[in-house]
Amino acid sequence: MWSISNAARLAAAGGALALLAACAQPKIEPRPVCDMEAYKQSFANAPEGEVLVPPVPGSVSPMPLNTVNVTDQAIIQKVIVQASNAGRTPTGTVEVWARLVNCTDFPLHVEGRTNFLTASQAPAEQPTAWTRVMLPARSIGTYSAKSIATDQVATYLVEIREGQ
Amino acid sequence: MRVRRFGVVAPAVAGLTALAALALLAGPAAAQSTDVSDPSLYRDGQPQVLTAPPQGPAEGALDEGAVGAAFSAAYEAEGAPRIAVFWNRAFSDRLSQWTALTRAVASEQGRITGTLFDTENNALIQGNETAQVEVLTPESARAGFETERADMAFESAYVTPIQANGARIIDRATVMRLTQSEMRNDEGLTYRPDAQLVETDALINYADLIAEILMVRDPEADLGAAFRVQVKDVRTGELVITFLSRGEAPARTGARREWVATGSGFQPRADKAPTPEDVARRLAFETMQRLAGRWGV
Amino acid sequence: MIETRSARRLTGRLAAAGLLLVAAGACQTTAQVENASGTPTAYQDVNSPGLVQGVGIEAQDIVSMTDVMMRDMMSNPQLANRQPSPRVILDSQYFQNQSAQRLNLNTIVDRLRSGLLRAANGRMLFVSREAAEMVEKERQLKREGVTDVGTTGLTQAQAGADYRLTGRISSTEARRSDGVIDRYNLINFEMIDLENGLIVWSNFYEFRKGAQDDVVYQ
Repeated sequence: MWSISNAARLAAAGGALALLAACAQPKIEPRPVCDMEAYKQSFANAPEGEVLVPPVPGSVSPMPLNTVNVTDQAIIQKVIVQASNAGRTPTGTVEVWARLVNCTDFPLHVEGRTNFLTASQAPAEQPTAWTRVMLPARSIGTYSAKSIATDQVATYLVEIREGQ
Repeated sequence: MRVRRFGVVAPAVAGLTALAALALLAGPAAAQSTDVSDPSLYRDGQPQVLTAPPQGPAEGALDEGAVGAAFSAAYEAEGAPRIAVFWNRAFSDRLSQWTALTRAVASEQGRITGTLFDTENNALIQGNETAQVEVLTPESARAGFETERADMAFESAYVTPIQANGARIIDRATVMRLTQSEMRNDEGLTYRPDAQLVETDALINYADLIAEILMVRDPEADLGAAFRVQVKDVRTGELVITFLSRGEAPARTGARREWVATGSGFQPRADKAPTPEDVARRLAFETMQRLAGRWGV
Repeated sequence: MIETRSARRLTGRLAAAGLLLVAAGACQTTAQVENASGTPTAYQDVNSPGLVQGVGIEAQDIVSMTDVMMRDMMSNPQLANRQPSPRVILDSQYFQNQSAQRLNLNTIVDRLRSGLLRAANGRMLFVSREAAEMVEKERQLKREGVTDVGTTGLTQAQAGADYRLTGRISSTEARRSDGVIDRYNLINFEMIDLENGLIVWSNFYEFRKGAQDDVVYQ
């Protein structure tokens, strides 16, 4: 049962809320500010490069090589891989690095490991041990790993998970 | 990588080929028995091995040959004095072997009163007699090494190099027995024996020098003891030489160390603890060196 | 009548079963990943924290640190890019544990040496000093004619080394009255030139942990 007085009260409350909204300052977030939607979109629009192809076609979605893959559901919406690259050391081993951004207001522990692969996508060596990277709130951290093998290493695949 | 692996294997193969060729030439029996210096047995391409420097004498080590020669010359020049060796037995200032435990004196006195030669005098007559109890306490040797064998070994090892360099060594026990047998009266009875006196007489008659080695406790020494060596002139009582020594060879500073392979790598071989014989020999040469120096040759 | 009724009943049952099958078939048109945990087991991943966690050096730390050190050494030109390959002694003789934790140093050093030896594949050669006595005995047996000389050939001496691993584990800690402990661990590795004493490579692994101090390391 709606009475006129109730309707008036509601209208007054709605008006007050509208006024409050009009007065509120735009929220300023500390950098980095992450846009997960754009991040997701960038994957879709990424140019096709080398991918890890499964032996049974279609059984595993092709995994882009020479990339960093956040494998953990727990941090996939919290951490963004800003950049990654690899280069040869003076002894011919490969050093790969990935710059990670903690988009949250909380410190995060993440761990990374790298699979170094040959040109035929066979493992060039054992994957590296999980290496811990501390990411303070809204900050960047760098994960890096070096291969043991030299000339055999052609590609790599970095996996990132939440620290355990 | 591949080159490296080949580099490792190739010398071995080359060595084996050389061995096989040797076997074909010399026959199987000769190939099976070869000398360790045969270069064909060794791998090629191995890093060089340095030759260890020759083992030189340690700093402060005695040149036994030179010391012995110097001593011999000095000894002869000194008239070849006879030396009695006292191992761990001091030639002390004790005069007699007999020790008085108690001494009793009995005194009497009397008085005579009267007229003697028309003179009135008092005469006091006194008399006393002394008696003492004496026991024979032969002066024994000082505590030496733990075993009699070690004592004997020490004494022998001390005397041998001195004797080997021409010195005449007198045995204390023998000359004492000889002296004792000479101490008879006209009736052929032996005087009351006193080892101290016999010893002194024996030394005067049969020896010119006493070499006295006394062992004293020294926890820092390898043997746990140091040794005081004194050489005395029997006739004049002159102290010819005196020194205190542990009789240890000096550390091999600068000399090549010996290494032994162990479960934790190569370790320097621990220096062997000196035996009583080692110490005695060292002391003998130290004695000879000092005597030669004292006699001025 | 009976037959008719039975036939009807059978038809009804068949129809019901058919419907069920169709329904089931509709549910299983695509195979799904069974996204669930596996069967519990006593075995644990050496790369991840285990059932018991404290503030000390644990399996995952040892695996991680030795992996990092091994890879770092392989990237050092002085160690891994020399011809002829350098000879390295890598044992716990000069690796010290000065931390508050009881730890078998060989766990670290053995994993490092093994991993490095496999990784180096001849780029570094490893000299065992722990086996010096064993090797010496065999050398004597060959040289005294007790055994034959073997097939790989003799050498003038046991292998000399160019570098040797030294290192130190140290820790500092803060403890609260209720037993909560905060420990910082630093594991430092150095490779020393055995001729002139220069440090040719060094790296460290550090971490800090805070927890209730109720774990005993043995």
